[in-house]
Amino acid sequence: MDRDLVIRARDGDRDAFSQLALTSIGRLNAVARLIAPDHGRAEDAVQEALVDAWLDLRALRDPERFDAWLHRLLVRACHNVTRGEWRRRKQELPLIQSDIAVTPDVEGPSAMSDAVARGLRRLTIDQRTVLVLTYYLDLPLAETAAILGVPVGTVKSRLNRSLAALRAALEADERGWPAEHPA
Amino acid sequence: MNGMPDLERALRDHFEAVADRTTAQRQLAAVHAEVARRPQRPTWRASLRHLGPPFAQRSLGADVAANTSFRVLAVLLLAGLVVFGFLLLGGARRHDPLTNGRIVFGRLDGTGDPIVVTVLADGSDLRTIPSADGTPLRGYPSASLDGRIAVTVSSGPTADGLACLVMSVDGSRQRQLHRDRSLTYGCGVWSPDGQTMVTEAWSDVDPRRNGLYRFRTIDGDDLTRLTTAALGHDIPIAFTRDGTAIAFACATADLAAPALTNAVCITDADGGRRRVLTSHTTGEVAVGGFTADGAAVLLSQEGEGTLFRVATATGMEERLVDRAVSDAFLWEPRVSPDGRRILYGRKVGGCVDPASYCVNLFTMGLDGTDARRVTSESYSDWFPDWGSG
Repeated sequence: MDRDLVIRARDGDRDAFSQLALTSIGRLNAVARLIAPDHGRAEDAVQEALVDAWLDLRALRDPERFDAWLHRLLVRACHNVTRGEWRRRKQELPLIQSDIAVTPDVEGPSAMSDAVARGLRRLTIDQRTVLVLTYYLDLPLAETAAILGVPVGTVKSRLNRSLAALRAALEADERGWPAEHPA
Repeated sequence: MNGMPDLERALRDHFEAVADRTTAQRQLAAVHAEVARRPQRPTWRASLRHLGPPFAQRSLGADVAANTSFRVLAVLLLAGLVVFGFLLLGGARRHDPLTNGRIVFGRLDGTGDPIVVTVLADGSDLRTIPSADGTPLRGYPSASLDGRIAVTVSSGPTADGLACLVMSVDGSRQRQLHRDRSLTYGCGVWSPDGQTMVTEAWSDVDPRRNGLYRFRTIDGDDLTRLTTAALGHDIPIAFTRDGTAIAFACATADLAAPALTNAVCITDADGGRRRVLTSHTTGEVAVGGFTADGAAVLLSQEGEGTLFRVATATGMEERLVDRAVSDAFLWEPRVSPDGRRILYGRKVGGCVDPASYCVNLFTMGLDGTDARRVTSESYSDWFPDWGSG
């Protein structure tokens, strides 16, 4: 992250912001696709987060915190698009199929990765989010807490519950129990 | 899959395997189009949308709320005192001209929300408002003409963290107003009689609820919708001195008409008769205030750092400059309670953060002459407002 770029963008330099967006969008897409229900919604969330970042960049007082701040906007955007999706489906369709993408464009996924993917589908977006922030972005607990806007203790408990839920889902999968939401 | 380390490793491997890092040119093009079309929000408004995490451990209202009986008694007593005070003082205010009291503002020290500070107009007797735990109160202040101040804080118990505290100008008698937790809002602009506030409230879930709302300052209840800004934001600027109308930065019904997205509107105090006063194609117009006679409203064009005066009858605009430094960047004009001076922020050098600039407070006459410095610190002083004495 280039501090000067952030400062210039914060001062209204659109070119500087374009550079920041270009260098960030790969990581944002990766994170959003792990949290949001599907790739389309993930892309919407990334666009929403980047536009919000431009509009509200003057609120960022410490340029060094740009990445963390952007992650926070992205998590919020993922929740927004997911809530919208849930409302739409609730009105139009019975929820008979999970929405999360199942590694459609990856060749030769391991059996464990498949199992984890199936387990993640049974988690809530809050649970997926804390797992992605912790095990994909490798953020410390305090950073995750800041992004989620909750105390560190809440992150710890949410992380433990998410891991327990994932473990239970994997164990059920191993025993061959029928999934709640078959893919 | 029995041990925690195995599960964690499996998660990391899975995330690495399926995370798609493809850079989407289509996404970037869409973002660039929005960025080109839309100006950044002013600092104070952007800050309100990105406040820090709520402090779940403690809220200012929690101690009182713990005892329901005490709370009911306190509300009744407070209501009685307010009614008594209004009856006692209301008549006198109609006959006595308002006198200038303390200036309240937020001082950005780079460590969080601004510290709430009050000062006399000559720059003397600068005081930091303490919070309930004795530390400096941090938030976004506004002053009432009845001698109180309101501060939007980010440490409230709601999901968005926002809360509105009302207090005496010395920081005593702080109390947190009730609020509708399904909407995001803090304090707002005071009505001249101090009995109500008008604020922007919005919902990220249902933007159709966005708009101006009015609530009582005695308890925060009686939330009443005044305007609808489904596709944007209505941001209150100021009441007229007679309390009959409100100026606000208004969103139009059609975002495809960018020339009107930075408009300033006026509506009756009950939300009726909304009309566009002026519009700008660049720079968000937000903070300002009416002249004492209501003939003009002073506005600040955020991105440009310029002030201007708009005649309420005709919409005619006139640039307002500090004649001592006519090319200076100026923001956030407020008219003094006695109607004779303008309080504003001016860009100055000597900031502690060399990468940024500082804003200090000044006052000047209505014609831009006789500028006098109010603050002279190396930090930025924003969100000024001038209460009555």
